[in-house]
Amino acid sequence: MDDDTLMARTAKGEEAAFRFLVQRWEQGVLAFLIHMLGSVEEAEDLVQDTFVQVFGKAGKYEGQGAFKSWLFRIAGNLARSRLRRRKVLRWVQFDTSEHDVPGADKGPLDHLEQKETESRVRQAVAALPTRQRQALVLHRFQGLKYKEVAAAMETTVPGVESLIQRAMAALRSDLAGKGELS
Amino acid sequence: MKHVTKKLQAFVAGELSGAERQMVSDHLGQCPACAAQEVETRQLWDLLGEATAPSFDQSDSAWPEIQARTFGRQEGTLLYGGGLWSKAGIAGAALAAGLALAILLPGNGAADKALADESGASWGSSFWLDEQSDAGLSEMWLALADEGSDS
Repeated sequence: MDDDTLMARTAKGEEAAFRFLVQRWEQGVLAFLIHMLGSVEEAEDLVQDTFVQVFGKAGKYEGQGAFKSWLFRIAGNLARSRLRRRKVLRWVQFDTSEHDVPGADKGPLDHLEQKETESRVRQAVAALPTRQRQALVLHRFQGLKYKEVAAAMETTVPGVESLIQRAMAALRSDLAGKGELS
Repeated sequence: MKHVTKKLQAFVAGELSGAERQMVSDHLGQCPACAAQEVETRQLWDLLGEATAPSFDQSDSAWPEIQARTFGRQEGTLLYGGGLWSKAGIAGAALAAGLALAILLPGNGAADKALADESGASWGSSFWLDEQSDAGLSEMWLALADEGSDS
């Protein structure tokens, strides 16, 4: 069942439809918010707030296939609002150990090295200006197309292109300095 | 030869249309500078792909909390006057209204005495409840207040 149908049924008060929608999207929203906020705990709080807002606005939703952009616009606005209050991004290293399993072709040392690389990349992403980070995370990590990112961020496709280009340039400079790029 | 530097990011991300993609691809075949930059861009793009946030299993779902804040709230609320009033809120309002009326409305000696006897307090005969008051009204509001505080 597509997202628009689930939203229409949610608007009619159908709990099962809303539950299905939450379970379909909560991981994506959580991952996005972790990258935006740098804190699993805060991200988990905002996942709840995001879906409570989705529920509250279900009656007004006229997405016509753009649910993903609409959802991430809500989550992004909440994240930016939280960051404004916090002023300075506090990156809390999240523990992924219980979720990560070393690949069959990789030994423990490779795995450790990979985790260190991931950590450095996450920190570099976290250091980006908020809008660059938002555009990059939505595009690269959440798989949104430029057009969808533009809708989620209420900007234009060239605007998104520019944000992502600048984000990539900053990351290249940051990570090359840390020896992650040749 | 016009370089395609500005198109490389979109090229690597698969965001270019067919014609644009072909144009960039053709250029990369002839321009070592742009080709080197394309490799660099792709390397960073792939590196980013390894740094996605961890996935969580369904047992970590936030659904119970979300449900409590959406459908759970609906069950425990009444639509009243265009806004959501919780049962506790209505009970509190009833208690406050009861007390306010008990203060404002005249009391009754017999009812006040009964109340004073039951609670062991002397406020039933105080200025809060007038000796000349209507028994029915004060009893009704006090009963409502009790009901509100119980719920």
